[in-house]
Amino acid sequence: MIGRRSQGADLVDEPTLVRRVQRGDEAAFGALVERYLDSGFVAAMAVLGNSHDAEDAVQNAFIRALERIDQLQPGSPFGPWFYRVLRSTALNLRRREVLRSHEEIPASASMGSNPAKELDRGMTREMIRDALAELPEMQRMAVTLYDLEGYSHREIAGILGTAVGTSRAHVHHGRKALRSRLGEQSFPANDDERKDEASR
Amino acid sequence: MNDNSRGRQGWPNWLETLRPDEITRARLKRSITDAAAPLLNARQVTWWEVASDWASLLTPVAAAVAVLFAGLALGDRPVARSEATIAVSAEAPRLEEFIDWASAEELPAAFPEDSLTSLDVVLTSITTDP
Repeated sequence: MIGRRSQGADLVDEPTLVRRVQRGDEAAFGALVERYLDSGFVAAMAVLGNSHDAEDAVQNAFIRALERIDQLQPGSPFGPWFYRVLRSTALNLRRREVLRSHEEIPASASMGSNPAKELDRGMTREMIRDALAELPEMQRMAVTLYDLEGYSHREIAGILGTAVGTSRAHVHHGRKALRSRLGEQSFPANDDERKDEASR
Repeated sequence: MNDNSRGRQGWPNWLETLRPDEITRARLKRSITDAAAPLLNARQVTWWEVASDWASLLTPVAAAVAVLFAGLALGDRPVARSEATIAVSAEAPRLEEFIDWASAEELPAAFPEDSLTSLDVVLTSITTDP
């Protein structure tokens, strides 16, 4: 690779990384990729349901984000903006009906962490994927972003392009549906949900 | 969110299940960086391009400043022209006035009266000599 390299990009804050990427700094872009590769893949999986299309979506989203990085307001966090780009990319991919009809690789063959441990917990990739597939897309994305990045409802609403109250409802209903499907043990209620249950 | 359900890097276990494996991760990262390389290279600018950008940015500013100063200078111009006109049209002093101004005391020391006298003697001797 020909691009310019700089040191310590992993330790730099995101607005600085974004400024450096705008000047063509390859290491800064690499640091952003490193930060959002896994979470982007998981978010894309939540939207698309299979790992091959999720890979395409993540790659396209990073390239689209790089092409449009000058549109990001100075000082703004990269993450929520990137998820917006990713979601749009994933939805376009699905809309254009170019999704391949790959059979998902069995969970035990594709999982990076200990498959036996995950089976012990009663969760496999297929189970999660099937449970997510039953939710509307907005709920899937809202729940994933909420649990993945710990984003606030305001941030999720910004990514999804909805009102804050709508984001809250998507997370609530999405988590409830996943819990009923995966079980309380696999998908325990969070503090907010426990308070809601207690107040009823 | 229940902290007991969190896996690596603080993710809940149900999301941990969806995390890409190392092979997928490496392949994806390589394909992204390969695709991004030409875009990043195109963004890199040389010092000359930076200087050109600054020059192109500053040229209109410099032109505006020049026009402003020119305007100010032209605004002062009529006064200067009237003075010049007066100076040119004024009548030149006559030669006699210059002679009056010069007094005997102001003659240069290179021409003492003694030397003028001796010069007369020399001239007289020349004209009277056959």
